[in-house]
This record gives sequence, structure tokens and C-alpha cells, in this order.
Amino acid sequence: MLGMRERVLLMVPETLFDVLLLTIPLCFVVLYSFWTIDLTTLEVTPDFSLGSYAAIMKPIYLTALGRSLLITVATVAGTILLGFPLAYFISQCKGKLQVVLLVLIMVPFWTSFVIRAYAWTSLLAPTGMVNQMLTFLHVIPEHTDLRYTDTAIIIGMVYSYLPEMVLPLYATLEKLDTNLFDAAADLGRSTASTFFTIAVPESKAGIAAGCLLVAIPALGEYTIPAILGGGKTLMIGNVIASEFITTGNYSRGAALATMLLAIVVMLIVVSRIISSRKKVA
Amino acid sequence: MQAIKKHWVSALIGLFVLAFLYLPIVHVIVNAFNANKHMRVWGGFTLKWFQKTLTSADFYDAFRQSLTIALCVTLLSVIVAVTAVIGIRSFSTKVRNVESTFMYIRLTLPEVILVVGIMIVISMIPGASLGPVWVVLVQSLIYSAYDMVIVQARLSTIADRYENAAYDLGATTWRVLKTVIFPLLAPSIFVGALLAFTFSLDAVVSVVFLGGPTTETLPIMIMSMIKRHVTPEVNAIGVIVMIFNMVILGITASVIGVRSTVSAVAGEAE
Repeated sequence: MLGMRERVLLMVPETLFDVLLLTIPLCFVVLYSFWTIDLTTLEVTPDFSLGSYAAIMKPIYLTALGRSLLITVATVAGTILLGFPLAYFISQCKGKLQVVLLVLIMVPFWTSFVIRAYAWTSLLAPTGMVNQMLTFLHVIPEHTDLRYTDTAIIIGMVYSYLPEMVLPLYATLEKLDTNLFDAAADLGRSTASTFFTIAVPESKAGIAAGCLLVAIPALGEYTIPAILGGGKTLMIGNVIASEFITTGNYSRGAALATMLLAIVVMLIVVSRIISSRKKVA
Repeated sequence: MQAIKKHWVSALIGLFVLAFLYLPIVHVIVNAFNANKHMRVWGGFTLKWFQKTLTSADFYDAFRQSLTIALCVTLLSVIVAVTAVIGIRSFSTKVRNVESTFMYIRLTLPEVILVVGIMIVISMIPGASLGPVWVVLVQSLIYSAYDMVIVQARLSTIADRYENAAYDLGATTWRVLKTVIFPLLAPSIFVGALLAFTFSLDAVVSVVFLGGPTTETLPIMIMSMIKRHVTPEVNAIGVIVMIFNMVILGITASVIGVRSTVSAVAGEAE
């Protein structure tokens, strides 16, 4: 076994990172949101004030926040609906086919993300392939421009977060006892019924993990709305960016970031409560 | 093949999802060779977008900056991850829980919140300014968490008995690390390094917020190109980056084997 001194030494790099680059910056985000900012010099002084919170109670900020919540819910729903059947199928495959499918899910990771997102703007333009397919299927009326809309952002988000839903779901489904499926088949259950009565309920934990893994970063997404929203449709991440980079109003930006942080913490706490209650029951 | 017949509904949806995942990639590859500037119809085969890219000084400059940052991030994140994973094992459950909470925060916290916090800290340090060093630090913080998940998964499958045997035979701590633990962890360290490297090459948020005016990595260059006008050159850049990543992936897979690469990356999600 390693000696005490060695163990402590080994923990130094990570602890430094967690304290200096994570804990301290997060504390300052919260502090700055409650400090006073001089709107002409943009200097922040450590005097308590709720001014920044009053300033963000305006339609432009609240709409961006509301839109982020809606887009996140849609993204989570989309990734489950598309990701669960795929993960289930991969878990039921054996040998080579399973490896090939897993590789196929991961390969897109290795293509420039910004360029893939850009490709969606062409695919969603009135002359684009996806747009024409949707028109042909009468999902959308003719000559609809889907670019730079909430729909475009949701499609881009579902697209980019799908692997993060599929992989934890696959990991859960893969561990399920195959005897369960065999028993269901022996007792005459159809494949569909097995799917809904065994696969779905037995993988609740994986679904919950996948939801958090998608929802938390999705709430603060910056890049996808910046590309697919065309600078017109903004999410809270983009508004925070403009407060910090363009306007230079750190306190107001910090207030928005603190709200986002509060929502994230709430999500985690709620999911912990739900999962611990299940364990008790 | 039996699985496809039995679960044909899931297989069909899966096929649709894969088509959905690959559609934009196909679009990029096809249009990298498409002479039609507006990418709406096929205008004949051309290599001019590649020629334009490969003769542009801006492209090389951005690529060099991306690579420099990615290499530093890979090195730093692997060091942080491996030391922590080896060190944390023998601490109490309480300490380990605190550590894994931090790891989870780094994995999921919206990057925007983290980078604005660091912007505030930079503004408070006299003489400090935005720049690539901060980009490297924040990326290492985030991606080392991914490395840790992968390396930890590997370490948990290695029984303590190898290590204990080495100690019983009188090996020093350093010797045990060098001849027992590192070689056993090597495949997972490779995969972790690969992930950190590719994530860093693709990173946007950390560079936008912390890079300052002089840092322009490849994704940032592409974002400013597509903001201005329709630019088919980005498709050529996309294909070049794709080939570059495939080569790196191929090297990793040939060093440690395809199966371990896949299972290590898939296991990351657990």
C-alpha cells in the first residue's frame, strides 16, 4: 500500500484544480451577482445589492431563460425517444455487430462539431434535403425556412446530445439479467411487450442518469444556438456570453449565471430525492 | 442477425437514428468536393476548396494553435487524472464521495458558468489577462474528469493482488507504480488521452470566453467564417480534420486494440 505522504502528494494536482479553478470561480460568480456594479466604469465593489437581480427581471432575459428550459425539455424528450430503442437494440445484439454499432455511435464525435452544426443550416434551408423530406411528408408547409428557429436549435441539440443518452442507456440495458428476457419469451410475451414491461422499467436508473447528463449541459448550451439560431434565437448561455464579453457587465452576467446554477442544483437535488425515495420503497 | 429479425422495430428506429447522425457528415464530405458554391445541387467534382484551405496561412495558424492547446490539455489532464485515481483509492469513503462529487460537477456543469467564474478571477488578479494558458487550464479541469472515469473503471478491474505481491516481494512504491500499475493502466490512459485531445480540438466555449483577442483555434476560425457568408471551404476543413482524427484514432486502436478502445469509451458513460 502507498504511504500516507505519497497518497497526499498524489492528490495535490486534482485538489489544486478543484479549489483554484472550480470552487473559487463558482463562489465569485455567486458573490458578484450580489455585489454592486458602477454602470459607467463597470467596476464591481463588495457592497451587497440586489440591483443585478432587479435588472434581469426583464422580458429579454426571462424569455431567454424560458426558452432554454423549453429547448432542454424538448432535447431530453427527443434523445430518449430516439436513443432508447437504439440502445436497446445494441444491447440485444451480440459479438461483432454490437462493436460495429457502438463504433458507429462514437465516430461522429471525431468530426468537427462546429462543421456538423453548420451542415444542419444547409439541410434545414428551404432547398435543403431534410427540409424537402419534411415538406414531402407534409410535416411542414412548402417553402418553410427552418433555419435560425427554435426547431433548428432543438434538432441540433438532439443531434449532438444523442450519444450522451445512448451510452448510459446501453450500459444499463447491457447489465440487465438476460434470464428476465428469456423468461418473458418462454411465458409467451411478445417482443414489444417485453420491451415495455421489462426493458423500460428495469432501466429507470439509466434513463435518469442519461436525462441529467443531457439536461444539465443543455441548459447552458452556447455553441448550437450561436450557429443554428443565427444570433437571433438566443438561449441563456448566449445572453451570459454577451453580458460578459460584449457589455462587460460582470454583475448582471453573474446574476444570470447564478440563476442557471440554481436551476442545475435544483435538478440534481430533485433527482437524488426521487432515486433515494425509490430505494426506501 | 437474429437480433434484427426479433427486434425489428428497435432496429428500424436505430437505423433511422444512425442515418440522422451521419446525414450532416455525408453532407460535409459531399460538398467538400462540390464545385457548386451554394451547396444546393451537385456542380461537378472539384478540389478547389481543399486547395484554397491548404494554401491559406490562416488555416495553418489556427490549426497550429488548436494542436498546441490540445497537446498541453492532453498532458495536463492525464497527469491530474492518473495521480488522483491512484491516490484516492485508500482514502475513506467520505473523502472519496467528496472527490467523486467534484468529478461529477466537472463532467456536467454548464461550461458557461465555469468560464465566467474564471473571467471574474482573472479580472481580480493584477496583471493577469485572458489568453491560451487559461484555455488550457479550464479544458484540463473538465476533460481530466472524463479521463478519470475511464482510468478508474480500468483500475477497479485490476485486483490488488498484483500490487500486494510486488510489495511482498520487496518492491519500492515507485517500482510498483512503474512496473505494475502504469503498465496495467496504459490502455485506459491512452483512451483518456485520446478523448481529451479530440475534445480539446473541438472546444468552443472555453476559447470564446478565455482565449482573448489573439487566440484563434480552428473551431473559432470556422465560426467566424460561417457567420460572414456561405463558405464551402469549411467542408474541406471538416474533411481534413476528420482524416486527421481518424489517423489518431487508428493509431490508438492499433496500439491498444479495437475492443479495449470501444469498451473504454463506452464505459465512460457509466
